[in-house]
Amino acid sequence: MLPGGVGEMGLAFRKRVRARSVRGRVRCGRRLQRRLLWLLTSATALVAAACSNSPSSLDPKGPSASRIADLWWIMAGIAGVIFLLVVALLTYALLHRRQPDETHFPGPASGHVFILAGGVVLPVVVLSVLMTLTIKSLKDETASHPADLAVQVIAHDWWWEVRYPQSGVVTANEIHVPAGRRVQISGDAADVIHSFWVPQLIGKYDLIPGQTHTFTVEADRPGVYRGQCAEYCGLQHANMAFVIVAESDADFAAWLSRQAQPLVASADPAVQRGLQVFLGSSCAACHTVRGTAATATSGPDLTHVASRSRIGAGTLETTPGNFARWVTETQSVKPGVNMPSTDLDPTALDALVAFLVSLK
Amino acid sequence: MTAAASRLERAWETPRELALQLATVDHKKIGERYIVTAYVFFVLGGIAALLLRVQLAQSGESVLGPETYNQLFTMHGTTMIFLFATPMLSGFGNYFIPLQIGARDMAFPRLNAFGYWVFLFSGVLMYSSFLVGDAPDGGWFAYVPLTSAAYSPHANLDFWAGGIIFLTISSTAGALNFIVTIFKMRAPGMSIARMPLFVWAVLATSFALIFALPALTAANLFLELDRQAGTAFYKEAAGGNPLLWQHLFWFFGHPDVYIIFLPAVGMVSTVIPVFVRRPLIAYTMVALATMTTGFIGFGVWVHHMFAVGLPALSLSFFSAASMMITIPSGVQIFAWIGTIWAGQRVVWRTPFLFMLGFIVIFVIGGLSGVMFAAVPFDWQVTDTYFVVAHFHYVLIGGAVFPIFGAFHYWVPKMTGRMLDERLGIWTFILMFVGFNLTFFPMHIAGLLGMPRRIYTYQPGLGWDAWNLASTIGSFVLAASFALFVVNFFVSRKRGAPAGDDPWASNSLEWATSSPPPAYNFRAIPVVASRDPLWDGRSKLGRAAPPAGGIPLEPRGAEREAIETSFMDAEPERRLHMPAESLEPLVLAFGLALAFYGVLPDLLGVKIIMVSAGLLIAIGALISWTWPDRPARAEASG
Repeated sequence: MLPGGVGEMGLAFRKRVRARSVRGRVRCGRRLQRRLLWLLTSATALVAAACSNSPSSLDPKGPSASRIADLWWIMAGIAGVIFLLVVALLTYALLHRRQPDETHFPGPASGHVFILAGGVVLPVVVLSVLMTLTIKSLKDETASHPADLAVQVIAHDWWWEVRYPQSGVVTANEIHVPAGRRVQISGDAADVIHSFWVPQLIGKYDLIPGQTHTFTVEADRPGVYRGQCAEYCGLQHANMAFVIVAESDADFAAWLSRQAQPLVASADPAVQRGLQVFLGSSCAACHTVRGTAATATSGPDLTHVASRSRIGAGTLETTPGNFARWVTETQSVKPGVNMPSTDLDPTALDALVAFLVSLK
Repeated sequence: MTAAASRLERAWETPRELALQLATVDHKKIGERYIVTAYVFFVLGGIAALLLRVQLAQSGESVLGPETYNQLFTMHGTTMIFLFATPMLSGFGNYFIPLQIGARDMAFPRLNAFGYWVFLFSGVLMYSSFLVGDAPDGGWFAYVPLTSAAYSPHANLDFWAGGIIFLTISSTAGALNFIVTIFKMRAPGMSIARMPLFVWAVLATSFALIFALPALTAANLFLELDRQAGTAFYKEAAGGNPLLWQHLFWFFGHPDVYIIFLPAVGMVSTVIPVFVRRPLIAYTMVALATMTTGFIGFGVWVHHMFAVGLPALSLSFFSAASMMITIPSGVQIFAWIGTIWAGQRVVWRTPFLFMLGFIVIFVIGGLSGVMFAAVPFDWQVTDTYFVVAHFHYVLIGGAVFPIFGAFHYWVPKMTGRMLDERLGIWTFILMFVGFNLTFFPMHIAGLLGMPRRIYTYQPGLGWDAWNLASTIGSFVLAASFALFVVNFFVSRKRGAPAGDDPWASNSLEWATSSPPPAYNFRAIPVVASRDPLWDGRSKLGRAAPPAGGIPLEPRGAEREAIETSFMDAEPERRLHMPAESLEPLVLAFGLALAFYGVLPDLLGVKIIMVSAGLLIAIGALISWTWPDRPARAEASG
């Protein structure tokens, strides 16, 4: 059941965990069979997917991506058979023994029947099957179910603003969700067109300025799933990643309540000096740290930046050294980003880093 | 006979003086210029691609920064689509359509010359952006609002949009010229049902161009108005809509795939019968499939926009249309296989090898293409390397392989020398292996979650090995293109003489000398079948050139051609054809100056440049359309 913290925030979760796990097992079994079937043609891809932290669409971790992966394996199978058929026919056509008699042509008894069978009947049959599958999967994907949680995502050049309207939490580049729950995402873009994509969970949803695109994300199990902008959006399109962190209900509730907290003043003098550096330099011109005088919103909210696994929209791991690098060498780490490289003397930099690291 | 030949020679040959060479309206020279210029752009676009591959060879590579990378991938796509594929096929069309239909030139020779010069200048306009360091960087698809003045304040996109609008003038002129030439200039007896399939293909492509280009021109015009005149076609905040750009662009962009693909498959239908020694089976079905593809190609543009959030009903409609388009392609593939099957024997020469390579690669590209019609799968793989793999299978498999097959088949006609067969086979092997090594791994990288158009990626995502394979493959592929150039130049000097008809072919271009004389045919051929050179003899053998023909000898120094009726190609009247003319070049040059006006005023001379350009253009137009042109003797004298 749901922990109290979440309940108090007024989130109406429903319990669907049992149904989900049964469906999941069935699907896993079917998928396994199919995988064995196509092992020959796809072994390499699977090995690569299994051996790394690849955000592979063939290693789905949510119902939507699983349905699409199933669709892929069916289509890949059909395509493989048709390809082999065409190559076999072509090979036969090239190499078969020909009549030495030149008075009539060898070959299929009737050219027209051959062409109609291969070029019209075969595609029509295959495409009818495919169209049926498409309409069915399209229906599954666009079916509207009541969501368990609403999250707002606003894509910026080149980072992701994440808002939890019911709890007032604002964060960036890291979307925490409870596993096994339907999370409704309302996506928008602040500047140019971006596209929201988490290959292991869902396909792409374009985020167009001024047009809210609403869709549902669900992760089967707790885990960290990498997402990345998939619509070319300018200089740093390559470094516009994010993660979806799926957690148990309890972990999620704990995370949410911690994120809702403003900055708690630290007793550490280095951190206090760092806050002054933060407020006195250009940082505060763009960033918010809730509970301080820094309230600008053109850059990511940094109130709990150190709790996030990466900084710069996936560019660097969150470490003290990388904080220092990010602040001083911004334009060489992520050239063109809307944040200047800032020269700070070593003591100020150390204090600033101490402050940033404290923003758990 | 020789007296007649020398009279024809005098009337049609362009003298070697530079001014007259620039003024030539000979479709073969213009065709050659198209082909050579397009090959130069092919090399430039290829160099860009190699640089991109080097940058992506491993994660975290830093050979190119994001700015350069984005400019190079934009110019790679733009170059290959607009400055290589379409003009290259235009070049082959220019050279071979009049020969294949037994005509002496295109219907509008000066318009033809004008089309080439505009193509050249628009390419120069776009590439001159590198000189000021502001090469286009919005992608070949240039989506707003990224390409609006707010997010692309420099001249990058003005070079691009200006170049594209300028280029559409060339493509429109070329397409109209092909349509009229094919409808009205065919040799007597070549009824519409006897046209070679390459001619059908160019006809279908030309119609598609006429209907697709206005959308592209309008899209870019709106873009420039938004950027420079403060209109709001695409500005959401002011009541415009950025999706309008996508609809307009893809209404052109998807048919454009078929515009590139159709002439190429026309080449396949040309070459395969010759190398299996029998006419293509189901000619009518293939001709109809060609036209149908051009038509259905207009019903599928939304499949580039499945992820923008359209209603499910529209998605289903465009999904069905995208599936339907595979049927005419299926018909053609089975017609080729059936023809090979039914062939008398297989002649294993290089042109045929490229066409076989085409079939294998194109089938893969077609099968992966159908998958995109399954909308939810499209959501997963669109804008990933899976798409990059797919459309290179379709465009390199579907156009570049046929083009190289056509080179090996037709270059002997153009130069009079055979290409070296051994080098040709190596070109094919390197191209086939290099191509598959480059692009097959991209399918996997895409399925593993690698998006397109990223200049760098992080290690540990499972993408490194596939990217390294692609990069290695791209150099093998590049080697094959270089080897072809070597083969061309070596063979042009030392190749075996080709003779009129080295392949014992079936169509009219082989009924004249190699290279053909300026007037193409001494007597206008009269055609009585689909395979005029295979008439009435053993199916393995060679017929004499079509008997008789209409002599059509010049009266004085005038160039003349025959106009025939649209369906049955009944002779209607003698046409007076124009002599060399500098106006097309001058008009194109004037327009080029005027088109530089879309750029910001870099040197403070914009007004002067644009007015001078327009004055030159108007002068050239007046001179062009002035009645009673002086004879060439005066013009050159």
